[in-house]
Amino acid sequence: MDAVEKAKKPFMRGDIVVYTLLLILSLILFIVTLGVKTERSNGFSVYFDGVEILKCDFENKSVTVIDNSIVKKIDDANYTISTNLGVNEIEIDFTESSVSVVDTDCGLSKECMHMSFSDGIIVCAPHKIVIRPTNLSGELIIG
Amino acid sequence: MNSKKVALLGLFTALSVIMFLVESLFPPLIIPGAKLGLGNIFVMLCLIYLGYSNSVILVVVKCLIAGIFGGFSQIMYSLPAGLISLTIAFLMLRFIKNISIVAISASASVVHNLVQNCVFAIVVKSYKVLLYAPYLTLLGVLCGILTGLTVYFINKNLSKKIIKNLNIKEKSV
Repeated sequence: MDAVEKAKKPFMRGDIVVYTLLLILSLILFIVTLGVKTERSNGFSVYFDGVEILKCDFENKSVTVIDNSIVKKIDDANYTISTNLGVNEIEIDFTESSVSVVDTDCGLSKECMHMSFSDGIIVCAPHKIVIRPTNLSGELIIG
Repeated sequence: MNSKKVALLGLFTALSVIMFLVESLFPPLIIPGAKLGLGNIFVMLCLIYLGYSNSVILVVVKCLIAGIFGGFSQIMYSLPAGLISLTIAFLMLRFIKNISIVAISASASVVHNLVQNCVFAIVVKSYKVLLYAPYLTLLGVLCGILTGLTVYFINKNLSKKIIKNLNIKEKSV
């Protein structure tokens, strides 16, 4: 049976096997990932191209700007990170122990603004910015 | 490879890049980074009409052009996933009997999502992002079925004319 022939029908007998296998695969992945617990972090660090540029501790409500040429403070909770690759604005929520990207100028789908800190990591790939939780016992981070 | 095939390959490439760019304007589906993958409709059509080697060209060119618009760091996410899922689709199309293009598309979509998830985990050095994998698998099945059905409808309405005009033999893959 050739390719054009296969495209002529929306469903064939073998499809059931394929869909079943895919569903089993996702079930296995669900079971495997259920065992992994995510912990609350007490702080985070912001990295540009692998170099730490900002550090924050939720408990002490302290924010340490490591690289002044990149990170600009707007107020206690808002910081602008501008590099030659682009601008990101982050907002720290001390009461919720969370941080999010509130603005970016990458012009595409702005993935980092939809990433949640509670999922473990926020990444802005085009600007090489990574926001990573710190001081986690049993964390899965290898880097 | 005649000139009509070259023109068709160019058309498919252009359409898939346009689909990619239009799609990147929308917010992600539920999970960060998740997309419908509408550009892959034309990769699948290319695989059906023009064969595997031409589809590899399409995927590479698509990823390079998309990289120009979306930043070159995107290439390392899109290229490995694109080529591996294309190869899976090709092998299924060629060697497995009794499966339709919709099931092939669903499998390729799942493989694409999982490869991209792994690349992402390696790049950001955090295995925590792998927790997305089960959701990406389910989403991949749904999006793949949608893409596959679109390919089926396009093929249904275009195949006779295209095949006649291009002299594509039915064993082109």
